Amino acid sequence: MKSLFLPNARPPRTTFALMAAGQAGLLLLLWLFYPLQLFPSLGDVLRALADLTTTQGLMPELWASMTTALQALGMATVLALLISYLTALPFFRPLAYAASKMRYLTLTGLTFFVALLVSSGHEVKLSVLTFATTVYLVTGMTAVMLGTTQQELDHARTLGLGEWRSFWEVVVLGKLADMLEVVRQNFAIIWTMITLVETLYQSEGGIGLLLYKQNRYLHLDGVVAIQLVILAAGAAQDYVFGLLRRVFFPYASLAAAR
Amino acid sequence: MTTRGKLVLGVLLATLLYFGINKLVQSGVLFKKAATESVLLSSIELPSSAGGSRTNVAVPLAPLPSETPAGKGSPLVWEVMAWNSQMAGMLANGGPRTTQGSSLAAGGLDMQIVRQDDVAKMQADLVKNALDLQSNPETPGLLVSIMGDGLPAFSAVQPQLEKAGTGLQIIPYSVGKSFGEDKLMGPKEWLDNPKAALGKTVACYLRDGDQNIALKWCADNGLKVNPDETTYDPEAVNFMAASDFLVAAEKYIIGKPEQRVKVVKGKNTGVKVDVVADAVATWTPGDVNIAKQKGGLVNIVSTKDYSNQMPNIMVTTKRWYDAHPKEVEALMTALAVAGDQVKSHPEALSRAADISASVYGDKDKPGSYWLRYYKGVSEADRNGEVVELGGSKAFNFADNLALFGLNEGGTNIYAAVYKTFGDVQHQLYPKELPSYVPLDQMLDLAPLRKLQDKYRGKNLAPAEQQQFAADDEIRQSVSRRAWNIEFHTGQRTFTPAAEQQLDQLFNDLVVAGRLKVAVHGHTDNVGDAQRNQQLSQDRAEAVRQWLEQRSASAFPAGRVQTYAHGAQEPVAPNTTPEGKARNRRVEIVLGN
Repeated sequence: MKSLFLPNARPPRTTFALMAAGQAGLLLLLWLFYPLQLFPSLGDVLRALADLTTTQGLMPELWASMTTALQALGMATVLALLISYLTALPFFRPLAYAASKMRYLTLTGLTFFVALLVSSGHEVKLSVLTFATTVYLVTGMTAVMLGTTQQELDHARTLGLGEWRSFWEVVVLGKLADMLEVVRQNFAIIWTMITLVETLYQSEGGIGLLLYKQNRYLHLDGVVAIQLVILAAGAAQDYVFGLLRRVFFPYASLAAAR
Repeated sequence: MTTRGKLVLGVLLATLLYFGINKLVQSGVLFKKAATESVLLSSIELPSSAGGSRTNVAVPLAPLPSETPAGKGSPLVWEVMAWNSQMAGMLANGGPRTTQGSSLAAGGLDMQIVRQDDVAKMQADLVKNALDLQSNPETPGLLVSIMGDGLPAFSAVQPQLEKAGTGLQIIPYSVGKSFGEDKLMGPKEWLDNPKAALGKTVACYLRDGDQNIALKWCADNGLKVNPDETTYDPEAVNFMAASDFLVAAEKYIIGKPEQRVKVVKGKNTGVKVDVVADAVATWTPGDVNIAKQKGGLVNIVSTKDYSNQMPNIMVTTKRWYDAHPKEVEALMTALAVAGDQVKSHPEALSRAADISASVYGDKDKPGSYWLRYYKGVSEADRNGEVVELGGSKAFNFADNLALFGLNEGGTNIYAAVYKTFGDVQHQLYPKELPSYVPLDQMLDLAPLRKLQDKYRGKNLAPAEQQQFAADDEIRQSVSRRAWNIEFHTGQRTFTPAAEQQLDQLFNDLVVAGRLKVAVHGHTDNVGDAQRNQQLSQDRAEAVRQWLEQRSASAFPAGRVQTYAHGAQEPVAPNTTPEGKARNRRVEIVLGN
């Protein structure tokens, strides 16, 4: 018990799990018995969740958004990896620099130009999501690359590897685990933007559109229910990425403090 | 296992998972989305009233308000969109904050006018104001102006206000209305053949006043509408959602397709089709953008035709309203005084436009811009087609008596508008708008009646009255629709079932206040031709008399014309009883 309040302590797993469950339970009880004046009650939210699931197609919409998000993430990852690996060559460094700075751009108005360039609403959605994700990924990925230490490179060189080979072994292969972590962290960007993008082109539906409609008529219980579903989807996603990392890069977390 | 092995296994698993879930979702076994079938809106009734005649009672020009803030009085905040119907309110206030010499200052009020284009923010502000008033009754009251036909949807805020211990309340006085600037723009052929709109798509900001115009036009012409913006129904008018009225215009201008699932009679066919915006429901300057950047669309119908659809309705919280009867009366009086000024004197109108410019705060739009589009203009588009742009009207006291049905022989026009569009939105979007607040819970006409008594017998400027010349035929029809009004066989009297149809027809015609009404009577081929001719004439006359008796103000002399066709224009073969029943009909044509 005491270990819960000690810096850097490692409480037993069961104690920790119990504590976490207790905290969540307390929050739920508070919500159940001390409802705020305007915040929807737990019962309302559950009812809204049931209604959204059974009659308004919450799950298919979630799946539609999820596939759009994964598509965008896939394209953005490939693009960002390409751009950031290219920074090894001085010629391409300005490109990565510019790409990373573009994360300051606001999307309002940009969608108009994107719409002029591509041929359908679906492509506009994908391009906007891919663009926004790419610029964040590039920022994270270049940071990972720049974090390559002299020691790591020298080690490769002493093994008699050439510059290209050292780059391949140390930076490309050696940093894949970290890159995966960058992707995991930035996946959330897509979810924050999905409502914006889905309301631009509403014909394809999606959970963002459902959220928008609930909000339009101030069905706050529905809004909270959908937000919770998105939260749960995000948590599941984080877990899957963690799993991937453990399966494919079992040695990556060896150095982390426990 | 080697990394390669893991990779292969991983990819395999992911692929299986993806297609598995996809199959499951598409099969609809687990969570089926409720199917939406296209809807034929039975009728959208717009009350009709005022048109454009000049007032003949001279209201002398009052001194214009000064520019110095009054700095005293009961505090009040008024949230408005950039909308020209508010000219009277602008003049009444003298500036963004009540100024000395303004009619609001004379009434002991100190009002701050704030531009707010976001409806959700308006709703949130009302809830916040209700809470603030609860903890501190001295908090300035909040008034919010919205489009009259949008109030049913806006009333979704009611549950939140109830949690704050109060509710929505309407100020029983309107400052003005949209008169032309909100419109449906479409291909020219829709004017002559509305059926051409079937299988086409209208871009608009959904669940709002502009869509309401399009919906009413579809209902008036007996066209089905597809409420689901994610599907395409070739036998109905479809909608394309835009995030606001300017984006709606943009969808047409860019012309990029959206992919949709084709639906036939409510059944998902699984076929994907590309859909583009063929028409747009929007308002100024969305119409200006279309005319200047692409062209090709003309006005199909606007709030000039559906002249009662969009009065400017002010709402507040019951909490403030009940605690401030004096302020409510002072506000209404001040708006009435300013309304007469704005309507009768160009100087006053121009000053109101300048005040509007400083309230709305668009640097590139001076008072002259607002003045110009208040009056409405005709401009040529890129292809040389003439398009009418803009158009609003200010109300005076008598206009309000007409709007709320307190004039002689009057109907509560606003009640018809509210119910009409509340029902439409509910019918189309039952999930999002399962119910809306009944009007009598929010509207209390006592203050207006009190003022009416106060001014009875005094020299009041009259309401604008639309003049209809009895011999002036409809030249441009807006809609044509057959009504199944049942008569007793061989007679000119209505069956009990007809009453319901007539009620709907009445409401429909009231909203479309400025349009002339032609009633065409038809019979089946039973009996001799001359008798049928007479019978169809009698039946058309019966409908006209019924309408005029129900409301003399909505149906002034000359608005309704009758035509008799006997059995000459059957719409079905007279060989079956069903065909005969279809031929015994009354057709209503609305037009200018």
